[in-house]
This record gives sequence, structure tokens and C-alpha cells, in this order.
Amino acid sequence: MIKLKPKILLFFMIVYPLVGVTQKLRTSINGYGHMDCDVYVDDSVTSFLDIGEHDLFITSALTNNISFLGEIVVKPLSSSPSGFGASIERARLKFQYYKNHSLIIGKMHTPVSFWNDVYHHGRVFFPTIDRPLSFSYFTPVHVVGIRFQGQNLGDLNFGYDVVLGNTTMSGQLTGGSTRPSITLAAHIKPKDQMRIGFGLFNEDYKDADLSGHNHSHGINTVTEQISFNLANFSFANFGNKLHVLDEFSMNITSMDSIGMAENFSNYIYIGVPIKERYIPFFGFDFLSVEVKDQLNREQFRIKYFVGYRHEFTPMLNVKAQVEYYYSDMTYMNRTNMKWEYKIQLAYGF
Amino acid sequence: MVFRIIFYLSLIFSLLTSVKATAQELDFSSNYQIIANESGLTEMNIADLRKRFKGKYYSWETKIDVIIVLPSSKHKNAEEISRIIYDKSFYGVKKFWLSLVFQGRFNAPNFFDSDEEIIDFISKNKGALGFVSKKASVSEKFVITLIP
Repeated sequence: MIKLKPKILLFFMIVYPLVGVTQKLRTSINGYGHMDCDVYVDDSVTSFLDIGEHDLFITSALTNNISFLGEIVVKPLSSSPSGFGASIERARLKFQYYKNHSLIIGKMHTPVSFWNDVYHHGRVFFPTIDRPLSFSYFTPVHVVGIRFQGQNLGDLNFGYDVVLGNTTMSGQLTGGSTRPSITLAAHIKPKDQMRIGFGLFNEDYKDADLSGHNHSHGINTVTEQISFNLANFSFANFGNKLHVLDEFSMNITSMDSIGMAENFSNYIYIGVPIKERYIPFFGFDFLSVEVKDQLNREQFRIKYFVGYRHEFTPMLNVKAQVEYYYSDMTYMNRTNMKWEYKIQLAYGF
Repeated sequence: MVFRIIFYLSLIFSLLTSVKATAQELDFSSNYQIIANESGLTEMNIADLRKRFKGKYYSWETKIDVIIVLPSSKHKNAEEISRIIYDKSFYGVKKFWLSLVFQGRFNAPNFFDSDEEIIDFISKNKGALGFVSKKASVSEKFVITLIP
């Protein structure tokens, strides 16, 4: 729970009279989900048929300038007897205080990258089956805190986000970190289908549970204070004839005892629509972590993929993808090369 | 020589584009009327109209929230309106709005099957913006004149 200080409460008391009363409560409820079938081929063959995340998405205009957005996800959880667990992925109140400028409070996705700010948990919106590799290691997916947002400003549709919060699982503004995290992000949309963005993130951790931080696979809990910094550049263009999405991430972690580690990741997706709903695509994704990094440990991963997305409706699509995936987990002295064949059915209702 | 060819080709392309845009504007102004409830505006050009329908502004000059009203897939003019306003198919417009709402960047638009339903909704909701065919009967206080 976020601990509100008296000054913040005073702020809301002052703001309250400015809040308009809506003429009619407008609430909409949607659901999103996906199912996956995967076959991995290396020395052996492994196959899966998974029920993926199922997402209850609610928006409501509470007054003329205050709205609520909630995203509750039921997802596979091996520790649960039913095999599934529920979590609140987004729960935020948005107060539009002046024209296109808003104040948002609650749990949200960090707007540090295009993918995290746009696609969230809605697989039906994803251009490829998987998120970029950086999501498993670098990207602080969720944040609990306060966000100042502006959008569609000027002819270039400039947008900004400033977020103060906490990306650990503590649920408190500074729990698990030594001070609130800060996210600074800006973007422009020179055309309807194009967005170019840049994001910066910083948080210092100590004894933090980061398991909800980045959908990671076995991230370490570091007892010494560690400074975590992320710079992200995104280019997205979803035109009628060509789709391009590039997500570049530079992650710098530093500890007093061993110094600084510079880590990189880049995901690129290129789609060539045959028709509006039939989209073959290809791309690659790599991630590199230096030896001095104690959060993710030294490793190198790269995947090449080619696939096809067939959209039956805006809320129903199927993606088929073939990947060649190489991983070198140097800290475990283990390398792996495999072919992955994946099919995903993604839907909304 | 090469530069001349590029120049003339660019000129022809720009002229064709502007002719297409002007034809669309004529189609729109002769076939449709813009209606809004307490927008504070009495006239608007097509560029501004497009921006507003794409969620460029949260609120009107009257500080009332903009509520977007669009024809649904069952509305006879859905495809034509989608092309004129969004330069997309109706399918593309649905995708555009689903994504924008999922991002939490704008409130969901309201889709209706007929002009009568659009007029009824707009007349009951302050800030609502939509358009209906020229033949539809609408109170003068809701009509916004399209200017060049």
C-alpha cells in the first residue's frame, strides 16, 4: 500500500473542488487472452500447449476529468494448486488537470519503452508472439507511484511522462529500494502510425524482491546496494505497406564493490502486410550482459525469427513463428542452440 | 536532368494528393454534417475535425471532455467515413481505437448503428462529437459548420 504523506493529502483536498462531476458514468469492460502451442527442438524435442494470461480490462470515466483504468490478469502460476494465479497488473486513477496534461496515481506500466507503454498484457496487440528479450532482464515492467503525463502537444504530437515510484514487489513507494525510482520518457508522433520515443529509468535497490520487476527468469536478489539505470530508444511505424518496430535498450548497473556493467539489447520487427490483415514478418532480438552485472549475470542471447500474423478481426488473430535461439549463459558455463516453433491464438472480447 | 524529373514528379504527386484531399472534403461537406453538444464551437475545418476524431484533444474549449461518437460496422456509411476522417478502413479504425483505449490514453469511443442513434446520444451527452448525413434532422444548436 502506498503511504500518503500529509502534503499529498492536502494536495488532493485542494484539487477536489476542481474536479467536475460527470453527467453519466461511462464504464467499459473487455477481456483479453491467449493460448499457445510451442515445440522446442535441440538435443531433444519438447512441446507445450498452454493456456496463457487472461486479462480483465476495465475503464471508467468517474467524473469529467477523472478516470479509472484497471487490468487484472489471471496467469499460469506453477506454485498455485490450480496452476493459475491472479494479479493486479494496472490499477490507476487519472486526473486530467489541464488540457492534455494529466496526473496518474496507482499501479501502471513504466512508460520507458514503446512496447511497455502500448501493448501491456494484450497479446492480441503484440506484433510477434514474444516480448523483446529485454523484458525478461532489463525492463522494469510495473511501477507503483505517481505519473505526470502530457500527450498530443503541438504539431508533432509531443508526449512526455515523468514517473516517481517503486518497481519492486513491496508495494510501498520506497520499499526494497533506497529512494523512489524515476522514469523520464518523451516521444513524438509525426504521423498517425509513427512514434519515436526515448526513455530513461533509474532506481537503486537493496535486498529487493524484483520478481515482479521484469518477468525475469531467476533474477538475483543482491544484498549490496545496486544502482540500476536504463536508457531506451524506440522507433515504431505501422504503415499500410511496412511495419517497423525497433526497441534499443542500454542498461547500466553499478555496485561499489565491483564497479559498473554496461548491458545492451535490441529487438527489431519488420512486417510486410500483403493485405491489411495478412502480415508476414521477420526480425531478430539480442541481449548482452557483462560479467560485472550481479542482477542478471553474464550472458548473451540472440534469436532470429520469421512468422506470419493472420488477423480475423481486430480482436482475434493467430500468429505462427519459427525461431532460431542461441543462448550463452556464461555465468553457468552453459550454451544452448535450439529451434522453436510457436503458434499463438490471441483474442479479445 | 535527374533533379528536374524528380521535381516534376513531386509536383504531380503533390497536385494529385491535394486534388484527392479536396475531393474528400467536398464529399464530406456535401454529404455529412458535424454535430456536437456544448463544444463551444460553431465552425471547424476538416483538418481540425480529423485531429479531434483521432483523440488529439481531451477537452473542448468549454473544458468539457470530448466524447467521440462513430458509426458502427452496421452503419451504412462506416467505411466511407473511416476513409475520409482516418484514411483507414473501418477495420483499421477499430484497431486504432482499441489500442488507444488499452494504452489508457483516451476514453473509449461510442459506436452506433444509425444516424438516429448518433443524434440521440449526442443530444444527451455534453461534449459528444459525431457526424450524420446531411438529410438527418438535427437541432441547429448542435451543428458545427465545416469551413474550408
